[in-house]
Amino acid sequence: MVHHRISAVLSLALFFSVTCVGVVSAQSRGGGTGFQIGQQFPEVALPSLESGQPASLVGFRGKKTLLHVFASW
Amino acid sequence: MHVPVWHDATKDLQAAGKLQMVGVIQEQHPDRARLFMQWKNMEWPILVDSYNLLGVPVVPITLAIDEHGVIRQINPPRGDVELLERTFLSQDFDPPDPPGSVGPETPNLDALRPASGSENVDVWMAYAYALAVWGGGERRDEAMGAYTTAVRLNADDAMARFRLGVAYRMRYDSDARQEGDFNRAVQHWSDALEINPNQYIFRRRIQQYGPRLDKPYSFYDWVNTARAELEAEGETPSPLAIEPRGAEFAQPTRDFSASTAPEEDPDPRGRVLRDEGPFIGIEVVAVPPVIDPGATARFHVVFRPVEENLSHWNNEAEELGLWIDPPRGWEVERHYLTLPLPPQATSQETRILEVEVRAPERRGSGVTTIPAYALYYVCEDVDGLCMYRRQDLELQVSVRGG
Repeated sequence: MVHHRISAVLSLALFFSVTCVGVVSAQSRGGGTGFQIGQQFPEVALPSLESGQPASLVGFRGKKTLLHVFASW
Repeated sequence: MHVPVWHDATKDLQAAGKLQMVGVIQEQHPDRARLFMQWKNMEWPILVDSYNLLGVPVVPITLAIDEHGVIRQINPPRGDVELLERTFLSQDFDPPDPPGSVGPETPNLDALRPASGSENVDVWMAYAYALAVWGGGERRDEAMGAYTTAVRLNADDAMARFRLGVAYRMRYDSDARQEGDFNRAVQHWSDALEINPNQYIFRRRIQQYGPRLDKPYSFYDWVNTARAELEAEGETPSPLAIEPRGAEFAQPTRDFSASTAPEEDPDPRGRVLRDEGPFIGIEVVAVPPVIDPGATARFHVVFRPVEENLSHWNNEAEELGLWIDPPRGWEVERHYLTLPLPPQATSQETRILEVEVRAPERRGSGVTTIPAYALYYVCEDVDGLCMYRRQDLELQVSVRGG
């Protein structure tokens, strides 16, 4: 079980490193955003702004979504 | 602004349940985004990614994601709802093969901890990620330890350096602050940007606190407008844990305006007694810490009454002052800075003065030390002895080879 968890988190880390390294190759399709069309959105958990508790973006599946990665500045 | 345009354009679709909006905030101080959302009447879920765990190189990014979690469009034309409906919302998309997982489980953080001798960078980064997301502020130091190990194992890992800088700045803004935290944050961000100069998230994090010549825009000038407009509508603006200040409000400029008016050294012979407590601790942070010849740096000079000495500011006298005496060839926007006093007789707040300096166009590389001193009135305790004291300090910045 522990190995599964390590694998899950490690695969996330590897995803991130591949994402970063893959920025140049993705430019033709993702405009240098690090994302690619047809790619499953990273199954990443991040803290919710409201609760502070980790929330997975998988939880938003089931509806068409516009996801904005942004800053208020 | 990018996101409010999308929000306004898709209000009807959101209300009809045809489209949901989700945000991921790439900010050091995410509660500012809460105020921004309140101001713009955007009530949708926001996730916080101060560490840039997504690894994005730039913001804003808008992704059209189908009901199966697959990215179908990247940065669709802003606010073009007709196009979005035709090319995305009205489409039926097949689920991916294989299907996506149910998402990451809550990890057992202790079980994830790598063996102390592990030299696998990915394992340390994964552990740091888990601590950053699930460990909260209580385990931030462990996340910093994991990122520090990752940086030691791979000095060229720009993302590990950036995230370590984020953690240092988070600790600086917390009650667990340690001396040098902000300096280390800026140093790690600068190192990260040196390794990957194309990473605009790294660049913006430095520019947020940096000099006006290097700013693309004011980062938080909208905050006061937002508060005023919300209050005018009878709303209470969402509170901010850390108030934006100085560099974060500053507007960009093309010209460095050095002080030309004569300014008088308030203690030319050094006769004011030194603060030997010291009753006031002073921390100096240069942003960025390394500059090119002819470029500018912004110094943050932070003054904190020393708690163990029960120090208090005495506000019934003159303002806190900072005199800066740059070496020949260096320019300073003002030689003497002061900070207005609060209304109460004594106080213990942290005070910050910010000043920009410009390096000479022609100069050999190396560290330059700019002499400065602060003058202030401080009391030993609320009802204790009050004194007028001077404290000498050094503003240091490195200049690259010219």
